[in-house]
Parts: sequence; C-alpha cells; structure tokens
Amino acid sequence: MNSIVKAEELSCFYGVVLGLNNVSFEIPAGITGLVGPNGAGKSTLIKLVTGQLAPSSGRLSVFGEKPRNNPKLLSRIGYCPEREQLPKDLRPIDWLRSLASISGVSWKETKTMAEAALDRSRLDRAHWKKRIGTYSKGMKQRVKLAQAIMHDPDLVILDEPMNGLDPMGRAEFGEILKELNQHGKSILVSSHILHELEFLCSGFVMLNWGRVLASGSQIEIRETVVEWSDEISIRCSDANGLAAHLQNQGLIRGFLAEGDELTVWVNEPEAFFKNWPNLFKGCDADVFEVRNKNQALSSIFERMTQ
Amino acid sequence: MSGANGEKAAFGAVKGMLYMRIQELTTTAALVRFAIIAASTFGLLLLVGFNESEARERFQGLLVGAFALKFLPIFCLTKGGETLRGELKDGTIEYLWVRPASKVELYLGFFLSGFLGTMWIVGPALIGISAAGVVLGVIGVGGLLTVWVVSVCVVASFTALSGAIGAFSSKFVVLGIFYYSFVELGLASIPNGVQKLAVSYHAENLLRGVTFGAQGFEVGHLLWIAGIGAVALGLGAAIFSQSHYVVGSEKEA
Amino acid sequence: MKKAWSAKYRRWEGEGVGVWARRLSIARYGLKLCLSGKIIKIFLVLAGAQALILSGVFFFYGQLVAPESALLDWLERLGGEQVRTMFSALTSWALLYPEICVDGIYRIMFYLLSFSGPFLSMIIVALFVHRLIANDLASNAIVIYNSKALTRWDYLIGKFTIVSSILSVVWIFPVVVSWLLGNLLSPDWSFFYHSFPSLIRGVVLGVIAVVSLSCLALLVSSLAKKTGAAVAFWILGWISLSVVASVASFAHPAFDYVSPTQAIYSLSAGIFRLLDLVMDAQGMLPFFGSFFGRMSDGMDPSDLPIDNGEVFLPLLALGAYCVISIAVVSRRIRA
Repeated sequence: MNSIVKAEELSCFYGVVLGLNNVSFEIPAGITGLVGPNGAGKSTLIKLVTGQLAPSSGRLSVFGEKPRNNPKLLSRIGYCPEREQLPKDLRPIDWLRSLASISGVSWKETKTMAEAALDRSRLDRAHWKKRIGTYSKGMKQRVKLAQAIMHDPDLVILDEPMNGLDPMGRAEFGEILKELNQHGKSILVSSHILHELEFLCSGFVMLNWGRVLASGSQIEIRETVVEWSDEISIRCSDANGLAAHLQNQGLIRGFLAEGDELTVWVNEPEAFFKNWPNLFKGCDADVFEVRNKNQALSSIFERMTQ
Repeated sequence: MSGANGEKAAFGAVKGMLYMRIQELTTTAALVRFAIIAASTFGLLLLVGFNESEARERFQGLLVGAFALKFLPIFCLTKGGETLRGELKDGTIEYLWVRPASKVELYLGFFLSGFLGTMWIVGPALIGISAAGVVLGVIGVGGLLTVWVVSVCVVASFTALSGAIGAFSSKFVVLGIFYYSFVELGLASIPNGVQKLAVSYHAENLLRGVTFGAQGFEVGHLLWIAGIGAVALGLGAAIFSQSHYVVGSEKEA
Repeated sequence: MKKAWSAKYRRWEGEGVGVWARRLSIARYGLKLCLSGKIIKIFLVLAGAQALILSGVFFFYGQLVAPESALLDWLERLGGEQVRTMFSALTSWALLYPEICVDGIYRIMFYLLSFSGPFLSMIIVALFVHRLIANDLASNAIVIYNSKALTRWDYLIGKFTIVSSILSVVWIFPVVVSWLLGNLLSPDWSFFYHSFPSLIRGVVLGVIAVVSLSCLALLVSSLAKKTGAAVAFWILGWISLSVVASVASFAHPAFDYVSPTQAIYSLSAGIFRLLDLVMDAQGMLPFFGSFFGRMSDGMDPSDLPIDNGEVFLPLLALGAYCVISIAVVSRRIRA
C-alpha cells in the first residue's frame, strides 16, 4: 500500500492530558474518514498532520516527510479547520488572495487562483461581492473549503466539514469531495457522525480515547469484527409470510414485521448468513435485501466504543 | 506552495497580511471613523485658540504632554498586540499556521498589520492636530515634519512592544498599562542613562519646543526609539516562533 | 399518558425564589468570574490595604493626643520638654476643638484617599470589564439570559451589583473600615462621634463614585463587539476623556468635568471642603492659625493652595453619564 500518512507509535500529550496514545496506522490515497466521538483525538491527529503540533513521541510522516516546521510539505496540504470563525469584514476573494499570497503565490496569480477555488467549491458568484460576515453557515463552509483547495494541494484535510450543514448541503459537499478525489486529490475528512462518511469514504481510521480502534477499508474493518449480531433485517414483499416460514424451520426466536421490513432474531447468526439463500426456499415472498443490522459500519463503531 | 513559475514569492506572508488589513480598514465604517477622528481632533484643538497669547504654549503642551507622551503610548500599548491576539482568540490563525510561511514571517506580518491598524487611528488624529496647528498659526512646516516623523517612529516602537507583550500573554492590555506605568513613567524619570530605555523620554526630547522650530531634534533620540522597537520586534518574533498557543481561547499555552 | 409523563419527567415543584434572589444569582456568578484572575486579586488587596494604612495613621494620631500614651512618653523621652509642651497643646486642642483636630484629620485623610480611587478603579475595572456584558454579547449568552424569567432590568441590576461590589472595595471599604478600626483603637471613644461627619462625607463620595463608575463600566462593556475591545475601550476612553476635558476646558472651565476623573476630584474637594477646614483652623487654633497666616492673610481664601471645589456641575456630569449609560446599555441588551 502506498500510504500518504504514516504513523508509528505516535503519541501526543497536552501536559498531562492525553491527545493520542501510541497509535500506528497508514492512510492510503483516496478519501479517508477520520471517525471518533468528541474528544477521541481527531483534531489532535489533524493538527499533527498539518504540523501545528509536534508529536510527544513516535513518528509521523506525510508524503514521507515530517510535517512540523516543513513549509515545503505544507504547500502540498490544504486544511479546512473545524472552527467557524472567518474574517467577517472581508470579501471571500480578498481573503483568499491574501492567503494565497501568504502561501507564496505571486500576487498576479492570486486572483485567478481564488476565483477558480470559489468556483470549485460552488459558491455562487452573486455572493462574491458580499462580506463574509453576512454569509450563511453553508456559504462559510464553501469559503473554508475554497481556501483549502485553492493552491491545488495533493492532500486536503477537512475537520468536521459537515457540521451545521443541512442534508442537501451535506450531499453537495460530498459531491465536491468526490470530484476532488476524481482529480487525484487525497482527502482526509473527520467527523463524529460515521454515517455521514459511510458512503463517501473508501477507508477509515476509527479513534476513541486517543487510541485507534480500527483502520482500513470498510471491508477490512468488518472482517475485524468476529461476532455476528443475531438481529437481521430483511426487506421483502410479504414480511409476515417470511416470518412464519423461518419460524417453522426453527431458525428464529422472534420477529417484528413492519410493512415490507421484517426484523428477525436468529438462533445461529453465523450459520444463517452462510446459508441464507437456501433458507428462503419454499417461501412465496420476494426478498429484496438482507442486512445484519449491526454490521453497518456505524453499529460496529458504536459497539467498539462501548 | 509556489506560483506558476514554481518559485515562492518574496515577502508573500507580509504582503498577504497587509492586503487583508487594508481591506478591513477600507470598509465604509472604518473610513467614516477615520473622518470623524480627524474632524473631532481638528475641532477640539481649535479651542486652544481661545486665548491667542497662550495658544502656542498650550498647543505645545497638548501635543507633547497629552498626545505624544500620554495618548500615543497608552493607545499603542493597548492596541498593538490586538491583531495577533484577535486571530488567536477567533482561531483564524489556524488558516495562517498551515501555510508554507515561517513563523517569523507571519509575526512580521502581524506587526505591520498592527502598525497599520494603529496608524489608522493615530493618522487622522495627527491630520487634525496638524490642520489645527496650521490654522492657528502655531506650528511651522519643520515642526509638523518633526511631529509626523517622531509620531510614526513612536507608534512603530510601541506597537512592537505591545506585539511582544501580546505574543507573551493574552493580558497584553493590562500588561501594556503596567509597562507604561513602570517603564515610560517610572524609568523615564530616573537620570544617569536609565531613562534612555523609555521611548517617551526620547519623544519628549525630540518634540521639545517643536512649535518654536524643532529645537530639540537629535537623530540619536530617533535611533534610540527605533532601536527599542527593533529589540521588541525581535523579542516578539522569538517568543511567537517558540511558543505553543491554545487557539480559540484566552488561555496561555 | 399522565402516568408516563409523571414517570419520565418530574416538574420541579419547590418553592420559587424571589426576583432579588435571581438578580443576586447573576451577581454571584459574575463576581466569581470577574474575580477569577490573580492580578485583580492583587489590586483589590492593594485597595483594601489602604484601610490598614489609614487605620495606622488614625491610631498613631490618637496616641499622640492621648495624655498618657506610651508613644507620647517615648517621644517626650526623645525630644524633652519642648515636645511635651507641643503635644500637650495638641491634646488640649483635640479636647477643645474636636471638629478640627479630630474630624479634620479624618477629613484630610479621606480626601487624600480619594486621589488613589480613580487610578485603582481604572486598573481594576480594566481587568474584568470584558466579562460583564461584552462576554455575554459576544458569545450570545444574552439570549439565554433573556429566555429566563428575568427582565433586562434584572439582568442590568445583577451586572451593576457585580461592578459596584468590586468598586466598593476601592471607594467605600477603606473609608468605613479605617474609620471603625481607627476609632476602636483611639484613646477616647468620643472620636466615634466627632469623626462621624467625615465618615458620612467619605461614604457619600464613595457611593457617588461607585455608582457613576459602575454605570460607565457597564456602558463600555456593552459597546464592545469583541471582549478584548472592551478593555481597550475602557482604558482609552478614560485617557481620551481626560485629554478632551483638558482641551475643552480652554473654552469653558465647566468642560473639565467631561472627564470622570476630574469630576470626581472636584466633587471630592467639594464634599470634604478643606478650605473651610483650614479657614476654621486659621481662626481658632493659635499655632496653626499663624502657620496658615503665613500663606494667606485670611482675607482672601483663594490665596491658599486649596479650594472647596465644585459640587453641582461635577455631580451633573456624573449623573449625565449614568443616564446615558443606562439608556444605551438597556438598548444593547434588549432581546
């Protein structure tokens, strides 16, 4: 695996307060979700990756280099912080031009760069002349994203970018990230709500209490979970009929039928999943979907953090 | 990051931060404030002319005693560190830290934008004072030039001092007042060379008799002011580049 | 439904506290927040220490005029017969003219105390002014206050209590404590009676200063959009008003009261009326009469380097500041 971020026995402490505790993981190219409840160490990890903090112990490399005090590496990273505060008296284009200049872009090029970034983050041109202080939360998120992608970085890091966005805004934000990924950019996106990222990310790093609980692709993480849940959700054309069929075979110990959704509690989950197509034979109901409820990534994470 | 030619533009951080500051200072509200300060200072100083025979003396007293030795130091010492501390408290500094610019370069940008912000208040006041002086006929061109040069140097020096205090502590306003009380008022009154550590001492000497044709102007005093500012700037840059700050709060690192 | 509700959610059915208790809870929380810094505690201790210094002065003076005090014996041993004569004269004067020799000393000391008040107030308020209203406005906590069973006036009273409590340590505490301690340690408890007018003068000045400065502090705190700006506004406002007052007084001396400091100083001179005291001393006391006579022939009081000060105009200026402050602050904290 060609990793972009590599941590080995990495720890970071704030005095006696634990930020990250001896974690090791690798983040490959693509869209990676950094997931964990509040206080899990996500922001600490992001600050380490962006060079804002120095590791207390262990090693961290980004594109094979140490990020702390490394302006050359920082030019390959774009960062969108969680904090909502933005300079309210400035127009987005002016702020972006300043940031581009601080990044070392020649002044002539800053305008073109800023405009392109705002276009890519899909901020309507009609709003460009307004001051940032008058913007809605969603518009501010776009400006924040624009400053992160403006200089065409190889790795874009977004700390809780979906916070405060409505469902449509989240969907659109996801599309922008996918588009960036299609253009060859790697993205590290953090959230404490896993299902936001479940359909967006190819890989995950799950954190809790400063430790990495699991990392890798969705499949890899699922494989790490040995225990199968006994609660299975089936979408079918005749929920009651299917429930009766399964009960007659002595496979389930209880069920709940709601419309076309049937939830059953099976006696032997692992055996059920290995053999489920055969088990439905002889029943007239059409089966559309079989899901082990607690095998959803969010449920796995929930169980891991309990 | 680099430009299209792949080379990093020189002083990009300073340029960028100054551009940001200029944009903030040219909003309608800021321009109106500029005009109000200039007009009110002008109007206020015209009151000196009520007694023509004492106008020159009173103007000198106000210019040096009230403006240069009292208002300027206190204003700059309480305002100069605001840019850096404001960014730290709002958390907007995070956008700067992750840019490929050194911390010293960023600090220089903070100092210059702080200087610009301070001059945006001191400047119109100086315009008002100069206009009133000319209208009342109590100050000549040489005197005005001296007042402007000394004021700009004093503002730069005190802004650097305030910036250094701000880099050290979020309580820069109160510490700035302490600095003024102990150094500018205290040390300035101690003879045998100790007083040279106070910017006010040099400013007072430079502006002595300025309404009578800049009699006290000595380059040495100006160099002392610049030197104190330069030391403060260096100290501030060193503190800023070596410190870890807690972003988004008033807490110290 | 009813059962489920009572099982899941129990409405608080205790006795409700009065509005003053709620106002005081704002003040209690605010005081805790404002006094959380170390520097402010140091300055409050300094302000409180003035009470001890004054008590020491009053004790020392009391011992000087007591006929058989150990201090007097010691001084007599040092100075001989001349000192004995001088202090026995002082004792006689204290008995004959307590309104000058007892009340006068308290008046002079409380008057001198009023000089430290403005500076200490400026520094102490600067240390917490941003935590009064600016903090609530910046963090939008004002909305939470407004959603409680409180009017904006209750909020204002709570905040006013915070500032006035802290400023009382500067203005009123030293006066009352030093008066109490000084009199308790005095050789003659009739000093309580004789120095009482000075206490009233000191407390009146303290109350006026505390009320007007508290209103100004609330005004500054409510005008700042950012918490840091409140501190700068307070200090710069203080300095700017002094400068403006000194310039504007060229047009008319009354403009001097534009500066709260000048208004308080003048009011202090007006309340303690030291010129009257000196004139009385000049007329009544044999030794001091001739001493003051050297400075003035007694015909023209303006010859003396002190005056009685103005009361009405400074009071009007401070009153105007209070009215403006209340009007502005009540608008700023409106939901």
